[in-house]
Amino acid sequence: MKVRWSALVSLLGVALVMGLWVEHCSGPQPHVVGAPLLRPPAQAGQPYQVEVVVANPGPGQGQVQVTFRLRETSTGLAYQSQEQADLESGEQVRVVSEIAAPEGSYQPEVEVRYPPG
Amino acid sequence: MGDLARRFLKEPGADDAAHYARRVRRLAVSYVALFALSIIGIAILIWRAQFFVTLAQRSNVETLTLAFLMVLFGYLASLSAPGTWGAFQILRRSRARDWTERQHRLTHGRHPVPGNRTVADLNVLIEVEGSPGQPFDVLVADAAGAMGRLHVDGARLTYRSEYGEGSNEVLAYVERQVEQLVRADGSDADVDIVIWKKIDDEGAERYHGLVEFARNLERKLGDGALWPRVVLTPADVAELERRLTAVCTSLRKEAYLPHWDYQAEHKLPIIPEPLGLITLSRSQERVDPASSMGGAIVVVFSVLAILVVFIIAPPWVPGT
Repeated sequence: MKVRWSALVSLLGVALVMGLWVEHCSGPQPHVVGAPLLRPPAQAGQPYQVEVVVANPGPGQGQVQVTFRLRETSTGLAYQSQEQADLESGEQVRVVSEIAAPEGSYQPEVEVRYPPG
Repeated sequence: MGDLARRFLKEPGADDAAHYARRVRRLAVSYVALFALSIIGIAILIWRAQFFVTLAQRSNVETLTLAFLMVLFGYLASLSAPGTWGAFQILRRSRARDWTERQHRLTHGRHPVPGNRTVADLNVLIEVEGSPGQPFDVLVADAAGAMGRLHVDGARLTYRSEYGEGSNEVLAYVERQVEQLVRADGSDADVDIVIWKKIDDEGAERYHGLVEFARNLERKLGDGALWPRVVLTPADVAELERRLTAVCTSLRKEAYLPHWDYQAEHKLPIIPEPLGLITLSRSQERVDPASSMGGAIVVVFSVLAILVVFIIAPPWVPGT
């Protein structure tokens, strides 16, 4: 019975430490909200702008890496840029990136990663 | 020796036949669990390799740590694979209508290992009343057939198994039963195995030589005992044989499981390395595989739990 009690207390201790760790030492759990918005250049020679909303529903905070891609629909060739964003717990941020690409028909793709590479 | 260390580490199945049977079941389950957890660990590391490599790099931990975990999981998986196969063999061969058929099916799956013997040395000599200094044998058999033979010569216990390789736990069981028998006769002697030949071959022979020297000197002098001893009555020997009969069913199953017997050392560094000025340590001459594999399961399970927590809630790392 004594051993069972100590095992139970140990398990509760481990669960408490795990809970505190997740609560205070976690990084963000980012994900992209909705579809990315593609803005074509206002004038020829200017870059495209891709805009996305990144949300962090998790309890942690930290820096995330957002990778933007413009994929040419006809050839599949991609132009890419990267941005860093700092996310607080429960926060949503709008991240905008400029990609220099020739005029064409593009499909925007956005990927968010944590931890940043 | 602490009773807890003896019961949980060194001789977890030696109290009685029911304990022995529970230990064999626990050992079989441990091998299967360890194998399964190790394979899951390898799968998780491969599945989320990029995540863990990035995490390791960003948190200033060597990526080699992941390779170390892979090697650990791989090593434990290979260590437990024969036991897992054995556990499934036990399960398959235990499916029979009656007890006798089950025992025969279990026996037929194992082959005699020529020259196999399991040896351990006690802190005391064992003698039979009326035959001082004489060795004696105890047959280990039940209605389904003989499993082996125990030879007792002074302080040395030798078990020759008919099927597979004999385990040290049989000798631990004999040690505990002898202690119980002599205590029931009114003695307060401690009967302990002090050295196991499969773990420390040279040490066992050195100790055996010393004991035999004392026995020879005692015979020459003929003037009282030079080495401590316990005396069993013929009724005690018959009871020992009966108690060994009670574990034959477990021995048939145990013959399918590998016997990974190790010495163990528990270290607690008060001032850690590289200084390492003070380290507390405690060692055991033998740790039963049911305990060491159980410990390995705890370690693998803890590492797996941390990996899963990291996947579900990645830890904070400094930004670039």
